Amino acid sequence: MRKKLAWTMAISLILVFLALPWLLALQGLSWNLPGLTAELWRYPGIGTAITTSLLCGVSATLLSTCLASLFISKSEGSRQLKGSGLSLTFAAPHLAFAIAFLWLLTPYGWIDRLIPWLTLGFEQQSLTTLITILVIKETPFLVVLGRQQLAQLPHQQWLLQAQILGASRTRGWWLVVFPAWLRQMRLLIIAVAIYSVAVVDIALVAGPLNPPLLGPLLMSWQQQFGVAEQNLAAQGLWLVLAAGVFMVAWVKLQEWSVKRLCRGLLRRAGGNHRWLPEGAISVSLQLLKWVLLAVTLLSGLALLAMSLGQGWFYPRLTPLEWQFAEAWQLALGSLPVVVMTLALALATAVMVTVILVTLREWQRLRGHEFADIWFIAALLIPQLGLVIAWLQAESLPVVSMHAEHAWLLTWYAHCWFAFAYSYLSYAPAERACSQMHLNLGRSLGYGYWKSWWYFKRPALRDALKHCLLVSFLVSLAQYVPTVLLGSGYIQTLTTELVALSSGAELRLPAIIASVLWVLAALAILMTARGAPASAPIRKLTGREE
Amino acid sequence: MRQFHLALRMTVVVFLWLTFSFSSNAAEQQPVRFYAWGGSAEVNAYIEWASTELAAEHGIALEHVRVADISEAVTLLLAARPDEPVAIDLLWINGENFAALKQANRLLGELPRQVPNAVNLREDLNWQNDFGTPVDGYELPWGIAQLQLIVRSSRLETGQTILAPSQLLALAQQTPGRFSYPKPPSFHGTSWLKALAFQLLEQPEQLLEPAPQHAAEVLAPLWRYLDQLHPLLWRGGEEFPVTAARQRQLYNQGVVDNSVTFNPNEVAALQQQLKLAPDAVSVSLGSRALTNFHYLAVPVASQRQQAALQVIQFFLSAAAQQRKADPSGWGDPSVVRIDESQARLFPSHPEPHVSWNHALEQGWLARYQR
Repeated sequence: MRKKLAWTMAISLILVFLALPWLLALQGLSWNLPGLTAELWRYPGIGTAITTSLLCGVSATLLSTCLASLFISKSEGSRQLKGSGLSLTFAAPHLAFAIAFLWLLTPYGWIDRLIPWLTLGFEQQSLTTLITILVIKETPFLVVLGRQQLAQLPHQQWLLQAQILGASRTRGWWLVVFPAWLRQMRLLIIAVAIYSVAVVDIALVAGPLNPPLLGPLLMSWQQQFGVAEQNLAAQGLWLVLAAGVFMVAWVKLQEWSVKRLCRGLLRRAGGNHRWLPEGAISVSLQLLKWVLLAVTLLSGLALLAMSLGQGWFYPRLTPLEWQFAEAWQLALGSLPVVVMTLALALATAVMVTVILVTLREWQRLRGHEFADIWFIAALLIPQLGLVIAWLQAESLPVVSMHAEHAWLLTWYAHCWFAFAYSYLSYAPAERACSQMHLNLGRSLGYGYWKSWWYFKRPALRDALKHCLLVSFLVSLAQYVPTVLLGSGYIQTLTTELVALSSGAELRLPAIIASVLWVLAALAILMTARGAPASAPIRKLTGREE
Repeated sequence: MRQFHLALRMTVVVFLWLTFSFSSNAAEQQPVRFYAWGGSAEVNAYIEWASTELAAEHGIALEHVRVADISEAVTLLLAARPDEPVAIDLLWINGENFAALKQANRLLGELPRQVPNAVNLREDLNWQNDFGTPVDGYELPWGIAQLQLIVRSSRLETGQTILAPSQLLALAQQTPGRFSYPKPPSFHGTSWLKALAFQLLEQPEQLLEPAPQHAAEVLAPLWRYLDQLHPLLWRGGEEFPVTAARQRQLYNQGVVDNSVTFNPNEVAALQQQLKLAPDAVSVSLGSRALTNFHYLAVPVASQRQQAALQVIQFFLSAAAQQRKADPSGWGDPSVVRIDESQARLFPSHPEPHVSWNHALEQGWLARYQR
């Protein structure tokens, strides 16, 4: 009875944790929908803004999905493609990477100064540049989490069966494993698609601005206080939501097309002929991997150089002065902010993991699965609109004047947003994990959580590490909730980076961005380490390494 | 699972540390939470200096809450219930943000009466109107802003201090793709349009009156000029830097040959700090420059109004203003009478009536944002 009560209390708290922000948002959200005659449609350049946003979302999603699929397919057979090079790109904070990318690769940038005859084609404020940066950043995200999703599928058995039926390994991969993997990846790809269509931070730095994409346009309206702008902001929020729905449909269409193609090919199967230029693909991927690694390393070095040098005026290859001592002092000065950032990110990672594990175990215990959409819906709504709706909800004072309240509110918001991303990483893995070993433990006389700890947890080791990692990284990157809910009491590396980047400074943002990158890279390194799961557990769960 | 244990332990330690810092800091000094733009290292350093001085002299702990845009603080103030205490004690503000807060009755009034140093404010400055909105004692000026162009010296004649719109057009014709301006409706972008309008309109005094119904006709010379200029600008006038700060980065990177500033001392100050290319000089767009002010204001819901007023009193002292005007630091001209004003100010014309903002911004967007 006590155990049942404890479960009920825990789950009630979790449901309140998940539902409360929605209730507040519904209260604070403006229901000013853009009808056919709405002012929004008369806003100059709105057609272009919608077209470019959708083009950006579709291209970035399609390209990063294709590249991630190729990387995943080839990493099965190639040890070289399994390396941690992509993880380094994954670790790079979006904004920091974009700043360094532009400084290096646009006209009059550092590479242009070094090799003036080389035309790279990346302009400042261009859609091509923005899509390229998004693809470079999102492909590693899909590869790193895609490997984890692949591990949940018995793909080796499927490949073996395909080979027994006479298909080559490659053909077996693309026709049997790939559609299942793509289905498994759906939610992660949707997260990428929504981010790409509503992107704000990188779009402001690298994307077109006349007109801007929908994300920055909505933000600019929300930062103005005239009646007309507030009206546009309310209607624009629904437009961005609609763009998000369009992207969900696009991801489904992608998946459907792939399935249809694969089914057609399967029907005509039989020949074991070479049907893909495998050699060319392998070489291209190797090359691409090295290019990605080189761009990432160069971007990291560029940030470091920008942190140390002062006066990089065109056409100089080196700065007027190297200021090591000043840079060190500035980095030391950011130490309290680093501690605050770490505290928030660690607390978020731990809390989100605990909540997710409890929620999943409760669902397994009850044998009842909720649709994923209930848990990842936060990803479908532009964050700025959601946070402003919270601020305007009247039933709960969200704006706080006490540091402790501000801390709690910010932590809550970080956990809530991180939960959606971590759910995408953890839930599918947990779902694929057998309860057999946990039940075995219970039959040996262990309590539920003791059995979970000793028998199920080792099987979920990678999923738990990814859950911790993803929530840590999401917390590191939070800007809007930290600024608006933290009431200025919470200053993290990201709020510092955005505040400093609003000026023309190069060195200070570069120092903060470098520290942020190092923290993210350290988190990835820490979660990448560790011994493989023990053989008995692997046998019990049927999970492959 | 060692990482999990490690993460858990680190979290506990950091929480304890934070709890300790919160409790130990709060005990001794009266905190004042100052929301101010944090995009300039020099401005941040100046506020840090002020914070040290205030702590030593007045027992006030000035906390600089750095924001990317002060509208973030305005959002917070407008979202709070009017009777609810807020975490913002002092704001660095002007323009539309001030107008929004004043209209919503969220600012403390009668500041000149409550800040003794307000009597030292320079009488020759027309600070009583903030972008067309009467100040009415709800804010006090902190510094002077004057729109000037930053141009590569090689594009100008030696000693040239004024660049008329026709000269700028000629320069753009000689070097297509090398000039630009911040995109309206950004602060600097709209100011650029205002400054051009003063130069190009047949009767510029019309700008001081409310914008009439036929504002588009009045502004026709401005649009004709921009129609000629745009194809000669960076990216063919199809793209514009989003802010003046972004344009300065493009200038330093060699992408464009001009930028804009609202700080008359900024060129010298930034060159001294190696943050602006040494070949940059400042010139006035036309014979008179658009001049306005940036201000300090106290939210009416602040629980530490007296301490916030003491901070304003300090900021308006001769010593603090002198330090602010120092070109080796921020270099922002003084609003109080001090021994020597180091700013090179051009003859000025005032801000147009606030209603022109809308006419200029909407007119520009309708024509050039497609």
